Amino acid sequence: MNRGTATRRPLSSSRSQALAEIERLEPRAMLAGLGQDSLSGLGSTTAVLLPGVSSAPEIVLTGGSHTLGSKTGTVGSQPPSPVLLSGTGPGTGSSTAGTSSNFAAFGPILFSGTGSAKGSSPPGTRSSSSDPNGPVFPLQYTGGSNAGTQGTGTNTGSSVGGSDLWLLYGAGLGAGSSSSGASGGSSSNLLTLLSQYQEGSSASGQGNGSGNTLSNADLWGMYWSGAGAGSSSGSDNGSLADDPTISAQYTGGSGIGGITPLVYNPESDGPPVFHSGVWTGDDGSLQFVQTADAGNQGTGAGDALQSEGEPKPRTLWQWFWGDDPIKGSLWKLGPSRISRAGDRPTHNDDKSAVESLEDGGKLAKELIEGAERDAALAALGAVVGKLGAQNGVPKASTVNGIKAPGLFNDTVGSLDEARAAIKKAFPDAVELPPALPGKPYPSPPPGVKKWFQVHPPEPGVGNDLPHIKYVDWTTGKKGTGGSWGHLFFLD
Amino acid sequence: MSVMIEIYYHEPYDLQREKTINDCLGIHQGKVTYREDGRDETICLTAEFQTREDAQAATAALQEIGEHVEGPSDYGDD
Repeated sequence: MNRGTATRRPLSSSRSQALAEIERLEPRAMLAGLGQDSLSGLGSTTAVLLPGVSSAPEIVLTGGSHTLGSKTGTVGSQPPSPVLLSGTGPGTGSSTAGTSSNFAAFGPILFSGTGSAKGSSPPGTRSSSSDPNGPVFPLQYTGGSNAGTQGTGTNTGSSVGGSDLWLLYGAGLGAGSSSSGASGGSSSNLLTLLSQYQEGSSASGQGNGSGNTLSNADLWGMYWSGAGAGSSSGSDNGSLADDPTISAQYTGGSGIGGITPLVYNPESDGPPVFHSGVWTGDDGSLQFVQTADAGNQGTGAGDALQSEGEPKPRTLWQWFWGDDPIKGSLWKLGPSRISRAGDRPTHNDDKSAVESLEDGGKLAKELIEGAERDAALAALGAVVGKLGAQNGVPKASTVNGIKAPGLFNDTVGSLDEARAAIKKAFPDAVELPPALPGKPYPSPPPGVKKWFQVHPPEPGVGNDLPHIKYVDWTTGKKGTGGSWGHLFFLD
Repeated sequence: MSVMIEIYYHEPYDLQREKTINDCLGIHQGKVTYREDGRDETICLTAEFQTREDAQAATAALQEIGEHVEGPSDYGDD
C-alpha cells in the first residue's frame, strides 16, 4: 500500500498545488477574502502574465504595499485586466489601482486583505471622455477580519457607452467602511451596475451611489448584513429615459442601522423589467428572490421585500452565474480577462444584468481547458507556491507532513524554507552534498538512513522545480513506516 | 537491512522500459519492491539489493542506458 497517497497531502508540483488551492477556495472564498490564511506569508509582489494577455498583468499577488499605477491607452486596445490579490497577510499595506483613460475596458479586480488588520484598498478611476463601447468593470473586495477601508469607485467619464460595473465588498469580521461608488457624467445606453455591501460584524458606514442622466437600465445595489451593521443609503439622481432604475438595499442580521431606501415609481420611471433582491439570512447564507413587480425595495431586513416567491438559498456562484461551480475550474471573464473561479461581479440575478452583459459579449464566462488551462495553472502555481511560510519559517503542515510515515510532497517558497522544514521535522537528519545536473547524485554514506539532499530540477522525470529530497528509513521502508518525499521550492 | 536504489522516469507507464530495467536489476541480484505511479508525472521504482556492491553495479548499468537513478542508500528494516 502506498501510505503516502492515502494519508497525506496529494502530490504537489507547483501546478497541482495551484489546482488544489483553486479547489479549496472555490467558490465562497472570492468574496470572503480568499480563504483566510491561504495567502498568508506571500512575501513579494509577483506579476503573472497569462496567455493571451499582451501587456497588463492578469494576476498580481502582492504582500505589503502595491501600486498598480496608471494605465493609459487607446480605445480598442487590450484592456488592463489585472487581478490584484493584495494584502495577503496580517497587517498588510494598501493597494492602489490606477487610472484608465480611453480604454475599451478597464478591468481591475482587487482583492484586498485576506488576513487580519488589512490596509485600505482604493479603487480605480475611469475618466474616459470618449469611450464608446467597452465595459468598465472594477471589482473590489476587502475580506478577512479587521478589514480596513474599502475605497471609492468612480466613473466620471462623459458620453460613456457600454456597461459599467462597480463592485465593492467588505467582508469578514470587523469590516471597515465602504465608501461610495459613483457614476457621473452624461451616460447613454449604460447598464450601470453598482453593488456595494458589507457583511460580517461591526461593519461601519455604507456609502452612497449616485448618477445622473442615465438611460436604460441602472442597477444600484447596496446592502448590509451581519451583526452591528451600520447604515446604508443610496440615491439615483438621474433623469431616467427608458427602463427603470432598480435599487436594492438590505440590512440583515442583528444591530441593524439606518437605511435609506430608494423608490421606484412605476408611473414616472416606466415599466419595470425585473426586480431582484439578495440578502443575507440569519445563518449567513445569501438568499435571493425575484419578483415581477417592481416597487420600493429594501426598507429594512429581507422580509420587507415585495416578493412573490419564497427566498431560496443560493451559493454565491449560483447567485451570479446561475449554474453550479466546477471544482478546480479556471474561467476567463470577458474577452481577455482571466480570473480564478468564484469571481462574480454583481448581486443582480442571472436573469437580468448577467444576461444583458453576456448578450453584449462583455461579461461571458468561458471555461479554460486544455493547454491554456495548463499554462494558467503553471502561472498560478508560480504564485501559489509562494504561499506558506514567511521569512523562511516553515508551515506546521509541511513539518508534520514530513514527520508522518509515507510519501509527502509539498511546494514551499524557498530553499531556506524547505531546509528549515526538514530540519525541524528531522533535526538529526544528515544533509548530503547537493546533486548536480548531469552527474550521479552523491549517495549517503553506509549506515545513514535519515538524510536529505538538494536536487536540481529534473524535467525529464516530471520534477520541474528544484527540490530537497528527504528520506527517513529508520522507521521502516516505503509502505512499512518509512518517510520520504520532496519539498519543491521556487526561489 | 538492505540497500535500495530508485529509478525515476516520466509518465506514461512504459512496459518495455520497465522490463529492461527489471532485467538489468536481475543481473545484479536486485528487484523492484515498491512502485510509485501517479505522483504527478513521475513513476518511481524502488529496487532492493542485499549488498551495496550489487546496488552500485546496477546503478551504473542503468545510468549507462540513460535511466535516472538515485542511490544506493541503506534502507530500512521490514
